[in-house]
Amino acid sequence: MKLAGIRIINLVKKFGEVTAVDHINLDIKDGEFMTLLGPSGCGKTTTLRMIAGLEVPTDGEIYIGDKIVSSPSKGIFIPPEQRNIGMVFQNYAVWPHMTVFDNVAYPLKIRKLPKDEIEKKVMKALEMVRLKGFENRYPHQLSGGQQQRVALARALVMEPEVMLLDEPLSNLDAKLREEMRFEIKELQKEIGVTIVYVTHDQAEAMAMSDRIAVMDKGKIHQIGSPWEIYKRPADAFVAGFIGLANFLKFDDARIEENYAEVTLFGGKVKVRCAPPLKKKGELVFVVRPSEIDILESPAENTVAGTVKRATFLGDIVDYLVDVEGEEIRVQTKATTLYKEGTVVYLKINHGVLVRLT
Amino acid sequence: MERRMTFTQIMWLFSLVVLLVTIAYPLFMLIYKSLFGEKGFGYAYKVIVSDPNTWVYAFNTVKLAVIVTFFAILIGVPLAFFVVRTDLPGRKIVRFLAVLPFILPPYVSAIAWIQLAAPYVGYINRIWKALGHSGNLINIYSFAGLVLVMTLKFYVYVFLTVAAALEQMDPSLEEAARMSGAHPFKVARDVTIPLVMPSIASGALLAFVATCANFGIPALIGDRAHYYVLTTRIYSTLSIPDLDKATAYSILLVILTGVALLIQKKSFGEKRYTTLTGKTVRPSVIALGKHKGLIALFVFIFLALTSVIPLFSLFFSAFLKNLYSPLTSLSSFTIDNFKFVLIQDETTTTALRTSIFSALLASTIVTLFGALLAYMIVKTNVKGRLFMDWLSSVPYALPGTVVGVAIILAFIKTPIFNTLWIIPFAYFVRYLSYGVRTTVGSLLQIDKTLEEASLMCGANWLTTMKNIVLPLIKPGLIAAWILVFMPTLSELTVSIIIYPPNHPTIGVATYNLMEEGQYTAAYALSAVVAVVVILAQLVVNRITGKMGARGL
Repeated sequence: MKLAGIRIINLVKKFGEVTAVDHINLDIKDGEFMTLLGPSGCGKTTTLRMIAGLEVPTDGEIYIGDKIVSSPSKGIFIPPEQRNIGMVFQNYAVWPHMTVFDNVAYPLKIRKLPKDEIEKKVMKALEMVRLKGFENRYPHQLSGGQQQRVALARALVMEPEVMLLDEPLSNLDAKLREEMRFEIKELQKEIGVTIVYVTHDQAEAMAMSDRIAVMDKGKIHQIGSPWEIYKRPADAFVAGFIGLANFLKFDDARIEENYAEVTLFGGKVKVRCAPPLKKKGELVFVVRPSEIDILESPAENTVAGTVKRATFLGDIVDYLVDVEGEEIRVQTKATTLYKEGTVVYLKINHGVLVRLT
Repeated sequence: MERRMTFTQIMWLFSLVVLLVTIAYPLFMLIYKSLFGEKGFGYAYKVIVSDPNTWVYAFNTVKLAVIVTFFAILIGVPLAFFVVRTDLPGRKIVRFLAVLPFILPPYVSAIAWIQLAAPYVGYINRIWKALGHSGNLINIYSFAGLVLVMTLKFYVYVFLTVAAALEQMDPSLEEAARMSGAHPFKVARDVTIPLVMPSIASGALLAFVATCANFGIPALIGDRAHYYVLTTRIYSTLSIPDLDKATAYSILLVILTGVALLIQKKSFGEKRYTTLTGKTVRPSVIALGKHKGLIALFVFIFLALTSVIPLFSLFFSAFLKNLYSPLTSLSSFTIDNFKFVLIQDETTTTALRTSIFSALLASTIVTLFGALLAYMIVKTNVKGRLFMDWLSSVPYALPGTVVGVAIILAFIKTPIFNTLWIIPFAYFVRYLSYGVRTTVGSLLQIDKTLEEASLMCGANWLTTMKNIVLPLIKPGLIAAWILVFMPTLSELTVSIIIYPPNHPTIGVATYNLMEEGQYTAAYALSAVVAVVVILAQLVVNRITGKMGARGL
């Protein structure tokens, strides 16, 4: 199977006055699992549809492998049917008037493959998505999860260089969604295809991706592995979108090459933390609720606060603590439960300095 | 809670009795009389089997309907495609103009085309002659004329069902085919057309049934072309009068339309592909490219010829002193025709009063009783509510002519027959379905918890109805009222069969003016009807938003 990366250069898409995708650059490697993550309306689906050829870009270039597929300035636009890309849609888009077999066989019939080869390849694809024995059923006889597997098999069967998945799990229930995550990841490892995956679900993105591109308002805010995105967010948007975060004011920050040190609450607290990734812009100090400990009595490098709200969630307790007028979210293991109104002492273990924009 | 139960029971009994007397009884009488007529057992069926004329009329009806349906598909499908799936300019106007002829009563459309294309006096033929030709370019009084007027009336069924299917189709179904490597033409062949097929068939069958059941157009155009169909024959046999034969024809017509409706319900009602749509549907629009101007020109010329010009020339004709007046002289025009039909003539002024009275009464009672039925159907689980729902919908599914015959058979010996009251009564029977369906639609949108929340706040059932349910369904009730008022005001098909001699309706009076040769007066009356109907439709569209257009 030939593999191909995708290169996106200064891609722009305007719908009338609205700029949906605003000069984005993205390099996706051969066989990589890349996720476009962001809130709805951030331009992730539009980007995916431009790779597919279902949307015509306003400006910029898209390469698949070493072939240019789209460049308005050069007058190049390869229509979707000639791009050899497998795509899985949010609504499955399984054709209701065809059987499972006919659905999956369709891309091969279009390519005029011999009948016995079509049959062999369809059965192999159905086996891969664990749908063997369902080939004569119609889509309305299948569950949502099974329909999505048909769509997956249809995208796989043509052995594409690239597969695009547009929120493929968002119509499934929570349990099935989690199962399918691992199945898709396993399939990708097995056949080594390049995948571009669009989702607004950060847990889904973290679980499956090699790298994630976090998008908002048509721009890419950060590209990195799930670990990097979580541990070293590039700016306040990424920090707030991935996981929970407290944004704290600080008195002073000392930034070195490999680390930084911030001083908070009038010098009462000093925290060693990661230095900012971006060079320019106003700074804010980000602390995850799980990186704060709650102590019963004062100690060095702690600050006093009052518990405003305590929520017992089973394995953890979620607190809102008022510290000198600032509300700080803290999550601790459920070993002790401090009641509302209790005075406690917070110890901040880690944090990261990020730019506001 | 207990008081509510008894109240519901009383209402249940009341509704059941009303439905049995007004709908079930006439339908029963139609079947009963077809078996035990005045001329002995089974006479009606003997007529059907042995009289060759019966088969001629039945064949004529089917032949006309098949040809009209064929042309309806030919026009409706491409037009729907252009409106929904291409970047054709002025698509909203196209939609409005396509639906416009449909909201007019059929006899008004027939009259509009008669004054446009009648031999010698129609504008088309006058212009043809003025250009130096002899004879007529088209003669509306012909089989072709009949097909033309009915096609332009009923292609809307195909257009609307196909347009709705194309709009609701998930665009990713087509995108998936393209991603599979299919060229747009192959996508149309393999995905779009197979998916729209059930809707084309469904719209075509509706057009077929509507053509079979129509009276106004074959009565005004077909009779003069000596092309007789079942509906017009029922009317003329009634005036002999030969009730048994009319009953036989009615049964035949019911079987014809019933079979078509059954096919439509059975095979296409269930097979409708429901496609799950997640996000808002954005039908992918095909750019027409360099052919855009040409296609747009063609579409707009077609719509101008079929819906704008007939209507405008009808208004124009309504101001003519007589049909032969030269069109170039200002002295040929007058408002006397309007004065005549609205003020002077006793028959037409009586008709105006009769129709307004009957339409007001019928629409009010249909709305109230329809709301009651709808409430029981949606919000209670009383016994037989589905039967009541079905029964209330039967008279609208039947051809109007047949409903008229059934009412005659059932009530000819009662005192209300031959009085003014039979007219609103017949309208109630025929249009009850409108009231029920519209209110059922609004009630289904009210979640049960909204009422329960009111009960939890301490309001009793009656207060809850008044404060919560009624305000929420009020737009639906108003829409139902207008939806009944509009067609009943200008009704012809049922009225002409049951009207008492001294109480003609607007439809009947217009038809009679045409038959008596008082054409300009008929044009004036039709023009008035057209204006009222179009204005009322605009009001309905405003109230129900998009629902109104779909409700057609």
